[in-house]
Amino acid sequence: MKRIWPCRYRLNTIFANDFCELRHLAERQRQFSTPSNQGAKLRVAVVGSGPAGFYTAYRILEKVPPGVATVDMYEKLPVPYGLARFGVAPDHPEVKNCQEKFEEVAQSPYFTFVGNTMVGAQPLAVPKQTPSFIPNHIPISLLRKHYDAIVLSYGADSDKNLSSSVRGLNLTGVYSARAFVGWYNGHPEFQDLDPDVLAGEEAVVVGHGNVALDVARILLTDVDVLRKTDITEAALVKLSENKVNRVRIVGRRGPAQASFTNKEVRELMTLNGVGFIPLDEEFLSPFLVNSAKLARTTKRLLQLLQKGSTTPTADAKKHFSFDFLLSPASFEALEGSSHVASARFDVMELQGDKLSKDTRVKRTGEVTELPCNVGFMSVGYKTHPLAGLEDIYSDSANHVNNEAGKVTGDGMDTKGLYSAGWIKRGPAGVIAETMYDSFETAAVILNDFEVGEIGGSSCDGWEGVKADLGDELDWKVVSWSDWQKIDNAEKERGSKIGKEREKFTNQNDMLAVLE
Amino acid sequence: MATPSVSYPRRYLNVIQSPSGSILPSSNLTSFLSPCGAYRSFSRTAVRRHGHINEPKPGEEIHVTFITREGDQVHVEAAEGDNLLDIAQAHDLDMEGACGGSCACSTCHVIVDPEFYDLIPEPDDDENDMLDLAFGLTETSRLGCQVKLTKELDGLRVALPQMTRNLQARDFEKRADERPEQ
Repeated sequence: MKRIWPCRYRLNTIFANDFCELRHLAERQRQFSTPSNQGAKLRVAVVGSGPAGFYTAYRILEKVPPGVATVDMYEKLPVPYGLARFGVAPDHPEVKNCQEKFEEVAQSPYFTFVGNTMVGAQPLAVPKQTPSFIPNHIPISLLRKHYDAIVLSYGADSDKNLSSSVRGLNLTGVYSARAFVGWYNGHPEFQDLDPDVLAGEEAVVVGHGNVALDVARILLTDVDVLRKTDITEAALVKLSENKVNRVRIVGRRGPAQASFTNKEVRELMTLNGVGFIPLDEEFLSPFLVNSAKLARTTKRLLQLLQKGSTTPTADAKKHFSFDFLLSPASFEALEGSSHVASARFDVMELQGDKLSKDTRVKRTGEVTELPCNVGFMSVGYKTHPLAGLEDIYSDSANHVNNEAGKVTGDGMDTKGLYSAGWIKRGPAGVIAETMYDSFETAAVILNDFEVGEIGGSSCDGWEGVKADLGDELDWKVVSWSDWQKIDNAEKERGSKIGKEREKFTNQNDMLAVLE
Repeated sequence: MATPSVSYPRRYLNVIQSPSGSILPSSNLTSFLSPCGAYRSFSRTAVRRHGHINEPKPGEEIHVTFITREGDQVHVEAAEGDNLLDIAQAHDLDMEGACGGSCACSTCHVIVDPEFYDLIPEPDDDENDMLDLAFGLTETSRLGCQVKLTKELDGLRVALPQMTRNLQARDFEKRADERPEQ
């Protein structure tokens, strides 16, 4: 079917003009074939089993003929999927559908899951052992000996530390949003958090990213709605007594600089029985005046904020607001108490274009205080280097040094080291972004393999690591079929109480399934 | 868009965006790479809950042309009611549906031939929320999982967008403030 294309869009250039050239080049590519690494094998270790690790493994295994590449995936927990299991909100089950693809990858005969095994020593900044989880370590040097390529895809393991600029973070009732999310999602490292959501009606969430909105939504959602999700029973018990009916979501900058996405804002606006406290005119007016100039996403956000909540504010029993231009200064307790009662903020002002994403703020000198019976800090994540790989890490950039995923380091032998996901580009972005960047890393690895920079040695992977460990390997290594048993046990527990799954929240309980 | 200063191997990047904005193919597909870009050591559909497509009835086939990331045209015949994501995956085209076709991600982003764009019912709020996050958004972008074939769409042409333009290290630095925190 032949069609004449109208010349209305630049797109037509892409479609029409490039076709001939593209076809021609594609033909040439197919005739070109002189790999320097013919017959060689590639052994890859992936550190971390979240979306970045799985999408990199997927792309590598998909792009080479069966058997050319083998991927061993190391995971510190006995269970896989990283933030797809422990970060994605329980009321977003559709986002977790990516696990279907990961399951497919794991079925490959050239894929091995090495669970309950942590690569590198625990970084100092990360909480050590908790009652629910004791990591089993192997050094990165062992991996470097037994693999052609190592993909670092272990993400971000802690919060940005604001303790030097915000006082009172250690008061009872003040929590890291990351820990709170880990707690209700059943992450073994956060099961002793025991958040106090019973102290009063006023909650403050500091931060304008999607994690902050997740926390606000979980606090405001009818607990009977959450009951159908895979949120843990322990969290349900606690949240069913939750007294919070007013959530302030507070950010340092203005609406145009917020990081949250429209989907998450819309979800809050449409929560049953929850009303939105309308924005002050001072925040809306710069947008209204310039509405023609706004970028698509900002324009849509403006519409959402103008329209407000589905439940009329006056009829709602619970409320939330977005509070802008407030930078956290301290959490305060009443005299003689160690429980938070209020939060103080420096009032900020935008320096420059109010509608630009990049506009910075400065203090006005004014201070304001908000009631706060429970507070959450959601100001971003912090990554760390693996022990032994400190030289490839940039603290200020908040990721390992790399070019398109290939690790770089001054004076250090970085051959065979790669990165994907948040440890590659910094802790931000949705799964789609991580997928594309993992595909890029896989492409770079395969390119290095093809030109003979890596591969072709007689690396023996996990078998070799195991042999070297010998008697030191005194813990249960969780295989993929082991995980499937845990998975089935969780689903069975869930089906008894009308949920898709009831997660094990303790390392011992996970491993007990395998005994 | 500035010319990238970071050099990175392009061999396995299926399609890159040139500074002028046109789609160009990557350099060499090599001998051990599958000629169509991928070896299927595992099935795309084995554990998918969605992804079922129907056999079109004779005489009622709807013709769709996919323009792949390599720039090839792939012509398929499909049945009314099926969506573009399912059709693409059934034909082993390089289109991911990370959320399983539930309109919760942007990985099945397609660029629709402008001539056909207005024949497709407008995207709803949920789809627009996801398109907000799509790479290389155009005026005729849609999510493949949300475009269901109708008779009027016979002859439809859609392109799979390039996916690496935003993924150079310096782009990430530059865009640090724009990205949603997770």
